[in-house]
Amino acid sequence: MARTDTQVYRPFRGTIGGSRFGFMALARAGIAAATKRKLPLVILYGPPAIATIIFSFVVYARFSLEAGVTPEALGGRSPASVIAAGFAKTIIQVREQIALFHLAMSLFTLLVIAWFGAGLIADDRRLGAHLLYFARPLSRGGYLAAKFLVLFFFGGITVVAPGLVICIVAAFASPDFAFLRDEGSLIPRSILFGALWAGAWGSVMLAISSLFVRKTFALVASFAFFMITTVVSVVLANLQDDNRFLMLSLQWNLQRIAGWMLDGPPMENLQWDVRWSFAVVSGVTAAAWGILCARVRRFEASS
Amino acid sequence: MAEASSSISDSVVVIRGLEKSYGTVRALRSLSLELAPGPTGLLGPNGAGKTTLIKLLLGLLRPDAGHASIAGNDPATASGRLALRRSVGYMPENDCSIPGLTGLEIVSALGQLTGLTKADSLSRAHEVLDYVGIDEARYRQADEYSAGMKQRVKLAQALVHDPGLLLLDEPTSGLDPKGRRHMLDLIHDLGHVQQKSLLLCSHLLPDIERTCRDVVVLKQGAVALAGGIAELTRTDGVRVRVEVGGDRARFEQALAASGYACTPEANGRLTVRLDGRAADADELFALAADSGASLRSVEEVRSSLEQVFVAGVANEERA
Repeated sequence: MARTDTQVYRPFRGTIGGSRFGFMALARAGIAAATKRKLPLVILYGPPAIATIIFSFVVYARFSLEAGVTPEALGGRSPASVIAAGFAKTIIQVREQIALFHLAMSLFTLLVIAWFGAGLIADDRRLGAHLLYFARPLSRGGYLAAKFLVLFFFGGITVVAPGLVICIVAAFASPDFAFLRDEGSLIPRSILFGALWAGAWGSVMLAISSLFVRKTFALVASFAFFMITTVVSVVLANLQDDNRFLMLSLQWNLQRIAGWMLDGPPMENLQWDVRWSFAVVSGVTAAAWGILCARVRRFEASS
Repeated sequence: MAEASSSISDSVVVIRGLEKSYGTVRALRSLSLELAPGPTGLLGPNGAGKTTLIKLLLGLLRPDAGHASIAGNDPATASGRLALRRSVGYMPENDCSIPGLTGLEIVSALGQLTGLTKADSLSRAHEVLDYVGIDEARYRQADEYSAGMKQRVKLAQALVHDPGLLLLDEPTSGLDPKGRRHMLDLIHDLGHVQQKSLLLCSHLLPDIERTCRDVVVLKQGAVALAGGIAELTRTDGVRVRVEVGGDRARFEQALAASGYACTPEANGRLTVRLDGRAADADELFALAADSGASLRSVEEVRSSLEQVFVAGVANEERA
């Protein structure tokens, strides 16, 4: 029974909508929950942020050098400016720098996806959250879309944002925005690659998360997946002296696609037909979604 | 009434021949039932099929055979499932929480998931958390809540969209006596004062007796007993307990002469079997007056729900 003036039941006077995008609320809640812990955010996004600044400075330095500015004028004789100017002299095109950024930061971007993705479904199962979700007008597809959006958001920031920042710096540093005229297509290509990368790894990570009830186990399994596929492909490629074995690894295939989409610097060991890489990435992603659909169907039924 | 006496249009839940098996175990056996608006208890021993029935009603499980309709929607179809979940509030038995969120954020997020706007869900979350008695703790991570607070947040999330029908699965599970009393008070208020229909699933008879008007007893996946608690607990041949003032011995003789069976009780009262006579209470007063006694109180004697439950389950076993 109501005991105080606040403990009185008040009927709801508003309206209940039937939006098909109701799952966005779940995605927002997921992002809000993930951003509450600041330390992982700093640790995981710190290195890519620093790398973005360095690569952006290199781009700026390159255009400045082209315009006749001396390395000293860029930042005095500080070691950082000298190194950046040195890079700028040797490193070539902006598109290649974006491809190199993805290569250099691949471990961190994977860490981001693994950290935020490992618990997305596993923690729901551990805490019984799916009991609450599936008693709402939320379909299995909506649930998966919400979870995928959370991961796509965090993965996208790591992969898409640096490329965009570098492109923007290049656009402003280039004379008369020549970068946009000459290399403008790099921006959509960079976004597209980021989406592909986050989509593929996000799907794999969610599928792994759906197989465990603890985030730690899912985290270990995701690194095992990465290490085993990468190491096995490298070992086989070396043993058989055939680089096509690298196609067994999702990461190498994404690097191959990055090189193709962003016109990155040629990498000697990644020279197979890029269509094979697309096929492998599509296959792995489809398999991940197959696992996800089957698992989530069970969660709903067993909840 | 939790039986066929209610018309389909009046019933909030209609179940026809529902069957569900898990492998070789038959959880529900051709279950047919109608639940009228109001508080109804779903009673049964562990493994009777209570939780399976609730999951089937929510569309979380697919029946092997039969049909169910809840708030006019068919949980077997995708559209029916989504529609019914807007008008039904479900409080699960198990511990459940959304990782990383506060109590307020959980209730608000689930409100949005049901279709409330962000502003509505936030204000509504505050209202229902007030109602269940979660104060400042609503701003704390729900993972840190005590068992009682978790139960209350679960009730709050079931109420956030103000559903007409509540499915409450063991709401007093794991609560201390004070928490249990509070939870039962809330459920009683929802069912009797707020006029909500609710299906309270429990194996605790006192909880059902205290909060519900109707009861359905399940045993091995079938209905062992269904009906209004008042009717079910009325003994065969109505008995009344009377407190007598004046000449009690003459009153007992007068009762015997008129064909009433009476049993003296230790506290000086009499239990009188009326055997379905009309206007009996009036006749008792008349007999008391004629024999120089007076009746200070007359109350109907009911058997407890526990006796009814045991008898119902035993009858089912014999059948």
